[in-house]
Amino acid sequence: MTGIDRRRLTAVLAGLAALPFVGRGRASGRAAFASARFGASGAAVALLDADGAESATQALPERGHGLAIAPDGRRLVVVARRPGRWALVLSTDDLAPLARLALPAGRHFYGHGCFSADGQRFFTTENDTDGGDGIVGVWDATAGFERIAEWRSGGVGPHDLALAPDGRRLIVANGGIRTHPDSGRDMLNRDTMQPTLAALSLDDGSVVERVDLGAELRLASIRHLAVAVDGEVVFGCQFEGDKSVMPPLVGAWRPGGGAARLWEMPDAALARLDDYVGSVALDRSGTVVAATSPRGGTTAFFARGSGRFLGLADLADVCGVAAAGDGFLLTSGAAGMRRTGAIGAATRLVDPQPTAARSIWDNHLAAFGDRRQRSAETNRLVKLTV
Amino acid sequence: MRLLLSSLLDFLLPPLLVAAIGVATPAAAETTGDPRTTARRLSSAVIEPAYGDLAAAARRSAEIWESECRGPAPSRERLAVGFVAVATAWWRIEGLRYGPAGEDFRAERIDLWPERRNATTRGLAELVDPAGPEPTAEEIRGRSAAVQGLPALERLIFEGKGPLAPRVCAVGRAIAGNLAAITAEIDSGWRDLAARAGADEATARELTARVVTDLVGEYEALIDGKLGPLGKTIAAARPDGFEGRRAGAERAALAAPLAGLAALTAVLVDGREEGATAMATVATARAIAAGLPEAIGPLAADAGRRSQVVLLRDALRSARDAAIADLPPLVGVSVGFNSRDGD
Repeated sequence: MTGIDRRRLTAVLAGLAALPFVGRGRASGRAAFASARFGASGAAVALLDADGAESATQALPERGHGLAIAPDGRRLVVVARRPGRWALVLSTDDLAPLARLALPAGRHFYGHGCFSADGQRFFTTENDTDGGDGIVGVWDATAGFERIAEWRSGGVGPHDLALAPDGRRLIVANGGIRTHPDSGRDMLNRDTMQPTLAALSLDDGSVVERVDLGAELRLASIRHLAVAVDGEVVFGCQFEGDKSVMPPLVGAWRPGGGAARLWEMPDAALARLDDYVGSVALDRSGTVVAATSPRGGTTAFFARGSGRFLGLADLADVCGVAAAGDGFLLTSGAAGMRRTGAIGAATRLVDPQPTAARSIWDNHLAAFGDRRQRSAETNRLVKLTV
Repeated sequence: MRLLLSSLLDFLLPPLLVAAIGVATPAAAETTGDPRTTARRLSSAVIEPAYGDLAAAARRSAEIWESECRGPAPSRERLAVGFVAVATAWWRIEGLRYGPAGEDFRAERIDLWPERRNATTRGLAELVDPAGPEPTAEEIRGRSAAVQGLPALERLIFEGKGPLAPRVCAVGRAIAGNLAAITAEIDSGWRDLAARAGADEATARELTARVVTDLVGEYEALIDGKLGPLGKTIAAARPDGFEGRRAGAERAALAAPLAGLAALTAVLVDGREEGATAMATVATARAIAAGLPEAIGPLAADAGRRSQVVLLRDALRSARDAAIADLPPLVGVSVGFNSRDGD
């Protein structure tokens, strides 16, 4: 499957403005109270600054999941959460819609996407609903996001993905969980589940390297990842096995450098994560890793080089996390946003500072101007709201 | 176009998603009154007494250990009575992680369950080794959470027969003393927090929102954690995996938190019809739990009786769903969805 019906694509794009569920982007000042407008406008995506002040919002057809910002900072793609079939390209000026990705039959999105280093291609994680293979969809970001190819992801249930710093490889978190739209989000392959991390060549989509966590941890679904400037991949897992096992959930893998390793934590701290990491991010220095656990209502911090556990910062229903200032911005579905200060080698956490915003924030937070795509808008952040 | 969009969304989204996500609508928030009143009632009617009972039970348990360890033949029976009282008092309020119970890993130090990688067994073996110095309560506080609380005490009391050996008694005395100190901190910390919430509207709103969030979280913990050993199928059941097995308190480990949930729900609903389903479903779950035998584990692997526990799991799911739908609008808060519906 390397292309789609051009007439259909043209029709979709021509009709985009008339889609009943896509509102116009609008400046909204400090309209940070998403829960208050939930009944009126449903799911939305918002641009906001590091203090939570929103500058634009855009209605979405339903809850979105991952967000990807083009290297030039001018376009944003919002991908449906699984098993959704929509992904929207929006202008980062005002969130006006620019295009909609037209997914072929037999595929649905798994929630995340990312741009190539030159911004000319876009990649999405997808499910082959009949065969169950993980798919990476390849889209031409220069021409209306036409689908131009698809690759095998190197596993089942690919979820998050990110570009390696050399721009030549794609790192995919294959969560290992097979689902089918007919059964919603139910896991269909508990007995055979095998999550992997895979590195794909951007030349031809071939899997050039793949690692797993071993048989004992085959129920630890590798869901989210972030890639440091030196190429090391940090990842977070969601454990689907028995509660008494309680494995570590956050770790690192250096492609070309052997096995992935999980970072140990004190039992009491690990218990707080409740077998679930919802998002991971690196700070701007790339030395500190934050892993959020909405189930545990807390965020765990680690020193990337050593994997040493640094501490926890509590925030009910926290999930979104992105580098901000010297630390991180954390977003919650129930308790607003929190900023953390610098978290260096010391184990002491800077007390999170409350911000003015109090919205129902969805799973992920993306930052403009990270280390590879720094722009003048270093403090602008984009976040889904519902 | 704007009107069409609004009408369509109003028609399609709110009834389902508001219920699923547990969002307080603006209209509901306007009718919930002064958040300080709700916070005061939650605290005075349920939380403060529960933490007071917990601290008192832990203090009494520590006294029993002191007394028994001074005698020639420390009695497991007397220690067991003290243990069950502390455990039951904790289980009743274990779901509340907002405030002092969630700070300094106090909740985990009281009850790190289920055991991970034999941590309690290994930690206790080290402590009871006569080659090491006799531990104190202060020293226990510096050790792994796995040996600081109820699971460790349960093993010392209920594994083995006859009077406790002096060294085992000394370890238990230290753990019980540590437990008394932790629960006293929670008790006093909560009273400080409740006083602030009674005076400050923002703190009160935060307290109420977190109580609702933690209430929903406790249902999840009961379904996935405490009833986890039930397994999805009989082949996956782990009859020895239920909390409180050694103490013969498996039913209490489920019934006590349900009593706490029912009490919190009653305060949040405050007699209003809109909360009738939340009230009814938690009452149903309590009734099913009350009808179970004290030893639940054997039922899990018994094809003829397993359905009794499956029924409780189903009832807990219904109670959770009703709590999510009913409670947030009644008190003007939202509970978010990341913890229940992430990816």
